[in-house]
Amino acid sequence: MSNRPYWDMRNKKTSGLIHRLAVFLFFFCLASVGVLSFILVKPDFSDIENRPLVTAPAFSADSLFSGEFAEKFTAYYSDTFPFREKMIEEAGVVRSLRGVKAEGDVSIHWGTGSGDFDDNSADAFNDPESVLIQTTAVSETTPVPVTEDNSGVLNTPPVVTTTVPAETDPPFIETTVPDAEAGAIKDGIILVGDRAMNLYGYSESANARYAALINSFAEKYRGRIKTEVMVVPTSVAFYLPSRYASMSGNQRKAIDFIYSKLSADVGAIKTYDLLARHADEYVYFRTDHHWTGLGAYYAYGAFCDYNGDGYMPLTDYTEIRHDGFFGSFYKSIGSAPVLTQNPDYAIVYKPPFRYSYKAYMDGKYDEADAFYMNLGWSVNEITSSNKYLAYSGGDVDYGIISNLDNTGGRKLMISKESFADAMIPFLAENYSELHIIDFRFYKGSLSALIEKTGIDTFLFINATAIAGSDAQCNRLGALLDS
Amino acid sequence: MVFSSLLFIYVFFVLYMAFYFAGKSVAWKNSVLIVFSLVFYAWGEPVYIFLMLATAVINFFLARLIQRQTAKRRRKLLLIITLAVDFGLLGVFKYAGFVAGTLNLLPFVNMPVPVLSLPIGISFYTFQISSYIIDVYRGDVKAQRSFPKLLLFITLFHQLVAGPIVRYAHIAAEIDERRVSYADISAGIGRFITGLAKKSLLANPCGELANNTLSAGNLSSLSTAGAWLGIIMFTMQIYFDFSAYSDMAIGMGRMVGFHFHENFSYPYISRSVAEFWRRWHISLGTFFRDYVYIPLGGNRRRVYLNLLVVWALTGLWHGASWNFVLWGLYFFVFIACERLFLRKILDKIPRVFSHLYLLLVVIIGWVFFYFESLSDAFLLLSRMFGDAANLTNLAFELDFQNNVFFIIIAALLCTPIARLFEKAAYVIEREYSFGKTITIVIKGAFMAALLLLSTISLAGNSYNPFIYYRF
Repeated sequence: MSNRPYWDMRNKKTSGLIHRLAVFLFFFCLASVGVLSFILVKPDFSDIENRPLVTAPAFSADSLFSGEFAEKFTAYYSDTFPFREKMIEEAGVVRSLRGVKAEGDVSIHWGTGSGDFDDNSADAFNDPESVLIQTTAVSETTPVPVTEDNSGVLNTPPVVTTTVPAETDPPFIETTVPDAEAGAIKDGIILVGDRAMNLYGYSESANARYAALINSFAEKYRGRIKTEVMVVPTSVAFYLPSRYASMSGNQRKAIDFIYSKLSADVGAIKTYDLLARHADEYVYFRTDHHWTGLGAYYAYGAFCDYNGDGYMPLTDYTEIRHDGFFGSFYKSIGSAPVLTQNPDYAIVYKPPFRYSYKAYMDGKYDEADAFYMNLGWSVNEITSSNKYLAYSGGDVDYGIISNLDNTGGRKLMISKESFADAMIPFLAENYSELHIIDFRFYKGSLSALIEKTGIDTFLFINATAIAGSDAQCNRLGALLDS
Repeated sequence: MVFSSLLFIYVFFVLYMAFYFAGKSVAWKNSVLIVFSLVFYAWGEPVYIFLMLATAVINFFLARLIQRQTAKRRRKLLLIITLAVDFGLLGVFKYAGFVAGTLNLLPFVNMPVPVLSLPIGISFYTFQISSYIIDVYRGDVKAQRSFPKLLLFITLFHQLVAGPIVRYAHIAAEIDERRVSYADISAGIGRFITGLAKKSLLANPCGELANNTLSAGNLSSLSTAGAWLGIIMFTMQIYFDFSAYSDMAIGMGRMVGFHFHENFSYPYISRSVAEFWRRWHISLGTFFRDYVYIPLGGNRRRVYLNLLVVWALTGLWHGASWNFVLWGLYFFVFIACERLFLRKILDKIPRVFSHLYLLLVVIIGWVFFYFESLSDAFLLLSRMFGDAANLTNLAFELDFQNNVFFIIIAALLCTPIARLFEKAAYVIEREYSFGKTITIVIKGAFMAALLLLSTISLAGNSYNPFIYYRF
């Protein structure tokens, strides 16, 4: 048999002109793109993926011989390739043509690679280095130094930074083992119609660990601090067609299990049934793994009810609508056309009370490192397509919101990940001080901070996917030991 | 650097071609090839490049010594020394950890296991250089008198990291003199783009599906159909990926006047294991045939022992781990059976059964290739052959439906279906006066579309693995 490929021209009479033209055209195209890739302004942030892009590596003999320079430069080049964002969208269209949607307009999208060659979108949870890259990028926020003049007595915080901290929370792609529920699948995103959701992997051992961590905390501060917990279900609990229910772990069971393991004096705030009742409202995003401000408000209500506090109706807050929200699922799936055409919007709530929100990040907690943020950011302050940042500005290591209209003197501290961000604008209402610890990032000593601040209530607020994750329990454990 | 990266295609390749065609003399062109090859290799192996250079220097001088030496015994001694150096280096860098790890399994042995990263392409260039040495020893080729020319042969980036294994004898004349026409360049471009598209549009999505299905955590919940889907997608991934690199190498060679031998010829349409290995990674099979099998006695004496040696080595070549040895020996069993009796049966039964036989053997073989852990391999096999909770499950149904068009197209492209287009083109060219122009324009447009789609896919998808680090 002949091994000659089909395009191989055998007819010598073929007009050489056409070949010549083809060759010149080919190299002209390659060279033009090559030149463009160097003369076009290099972007440093990918909006569509909501992450800082790899920057050009500094050249040194060390980095050259370790191979680091070549590796970083290759990553930098492909990250900043001309029209890359457009290509991500087009690749999403091409990908959607690979087959048909299953019954109920459903498709499955598995976790995004894991440490593969050239994989620039490595999941931050699995790759400690990329967490570092992301947190470094957060520091691009222009910190506003604390001075006497702007120590914050206004509704409008002093100097508003235009860059927002990069959202440091990737979607929940977790390595939890579905040890209790056979058939439940981890690390997949299921797209049902125009709604994307993370499948939930149930791990009884991790859930038990989470409860045990909180119990030991409550034990330590018993009699001095009220310990409360709020575990929040993710959207897949409410919007997965029953036909596919077996693919995701049972979050109700997970929350009930955690709550059943808590010591009697730990307050368990129930949100599952509440959110289920409101599931036909816009309480979860479709392109992002978080809940909306409305969903968070309902849960906030449950928190206030539990503590016997009243709370303002939503109408007392100033609504700001952010359109064009392309969330974390949009990124992970790689621009599914149905999501491109149906972005989310975020309605954020600006509290009517006067407050100041002082924040610290990157492990720097000196007074000189503090800067101010606000709650309910305006449309022109959030240029990123990640509108989730608009609630409270994104994740910082440690933040203190002082409610200047509340002189009651109660102090609340929360340990949270990004799920709480949508609730933060509400939480300071009944407290003079709200201390916000992101358990993933805070590097100081928690016990010292508790002594210093003199809080009376401590609230653990986490999504089920975080609470039931061994990796996250490790981090929480480290914080609680500190 | 790898071919399927944007930096390679739009910067390295463009600069290389510009410099290459900037000068007229062969000396200039060869210098450009050497310099770019060294940069190409150093980009991924900034330290091990010195190992490759040292190998080139040693082999250059020893080959010349072998050629000059007339005493038979001394020639043989020199040959053995050279091969000992070449394979010694390969052994140290590729197999030391494996040997130590295996010896440690014995009682009373407890040695440290050396951890050396494998220099990219060392298996390929070691084989290339040893074919040169053996050919010189046998008097089949003359030892190269110019070091740069031998260096060019060893370092040529076209096939350095993922094959084919090019023999010195095949390109010796072309190192000194080569001619290209625009038709050659255009054909080379077509071949290169085809390889690029195979890698980015076929191999990567296949690999994504295979990995998602076969990832260790999923094995326990796999359905029977899911297990088959996963390993079939890996079967297609490794073919598309490996042959894509060969396509790109052959295409780049063609653009500058090198004619590398074909490395793949639709292996999955074979009807016996023997035929499969004549169509799969041809340059490796012929290497073992010419330099191991035949010198051992070939078909004339101890044929089964010879086959055993060849297949154990073939397995080991693919990776320093027992699963690869097992994979090689697995093929030995079938080849031996085919020789003994199976061949006659396969020839007689309806073709569909011999095709099914071959596919089954090869697909099961890839299970041992895919999993380094034997327990995982056997777990998947048990899932494939009925020991699963369900025949299908929702995960499989979703995977299958969401990718159904892709799976069908990929399977068809494992066959020589593209030949149909070749035939159609031939008819058009014969029937119409402008037929040739029409077909070239259509082919050109098709290639342009493939290049665009490949670029979009490389820029827009994150999954783009390089799977030859173990070779």
